[in-house]
Amino acid sequence: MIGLSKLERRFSEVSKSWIETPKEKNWLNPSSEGFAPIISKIKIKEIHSIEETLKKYKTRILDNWDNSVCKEFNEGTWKRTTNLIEAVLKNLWYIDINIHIPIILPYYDSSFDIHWENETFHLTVNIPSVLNQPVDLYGQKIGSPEYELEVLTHYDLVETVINSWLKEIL
Amino acid sequence: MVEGNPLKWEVEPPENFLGNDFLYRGVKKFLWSEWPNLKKIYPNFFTVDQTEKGLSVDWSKYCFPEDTLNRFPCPNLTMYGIVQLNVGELRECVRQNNFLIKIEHKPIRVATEILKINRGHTLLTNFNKEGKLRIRTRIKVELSKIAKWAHNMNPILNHIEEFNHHYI
Repeated sequence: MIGLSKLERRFSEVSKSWIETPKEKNWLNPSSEGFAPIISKIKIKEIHSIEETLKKYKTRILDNWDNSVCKEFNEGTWKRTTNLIEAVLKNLWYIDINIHIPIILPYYDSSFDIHWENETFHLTVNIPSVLNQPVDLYGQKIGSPEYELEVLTHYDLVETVINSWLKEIL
Repeated sequence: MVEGNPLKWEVEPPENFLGNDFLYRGVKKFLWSEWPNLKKIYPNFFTVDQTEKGLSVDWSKYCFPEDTLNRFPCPNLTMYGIVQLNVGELRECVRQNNFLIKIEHKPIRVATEILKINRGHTLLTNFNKEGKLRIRTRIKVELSKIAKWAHNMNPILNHIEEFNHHYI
């Protein structure tokens, strides 16, 4: 069991989203203002698993990058893709919504699909390689057509759309 | 399959594509290398730029999946898998989703540097009515649901790749 001293972090080291507590919970202890809330061992492991998984994806995709047909690997598009995944997963895991790390599917033009799929739902999010092109999302809750999601929207709004939809269906 | 004189091959109308027919297409390793389950097909089994003039497929009336594979410069299953789309399922998918996709027979009568003669060559066209070089995610996802690997045409990972794929 990891001791408290290893889990406690100062506020400045932890991003704000981890400090804001949901209304129904209040485990932020005001008497220890110099310290962030205790982050459970499980959550640290899971955050670490996102980073590790995304690194492995990138390594494998680059290993298989086909320069004879593909445009140059676009670091900016990759960053937008992985930032979105991290943001969504942290947001949902924080409120105990159990969702797996999605896969990333590459295209020749260095755009990427973020793809979630299990027995409950599927959701595919295309992150274009052209910066000002909208993000294209399509998702379904299996067996419930009324929850179908089909949206074309700006990148800055995608996280909100995904979080809202997943919270509703999961 | 009797080929005849390629220069006399006629373009056949869409209604000649029967519900039990298949359309075959090669999927290059770059696209399937990230698929966690190589028994199923994922939405990136074709790419947008490949649909600009129509997505090339081979019609089962004149082609076997092996023919599609053998047209590639490196015709082996460690580089390509061959996907099949059933024509009946494709039409149903198009109908249910109000897609505008059409099936157009386009035999290749004369070989070029890139293309070999191919009586079964067919184009899936009209992926995007605006003609823009972007396919809606919905189209890719719905087509991937009805796509399957042709018989014995699943791609193959080599030993080390298989280990990395599942365990790393």
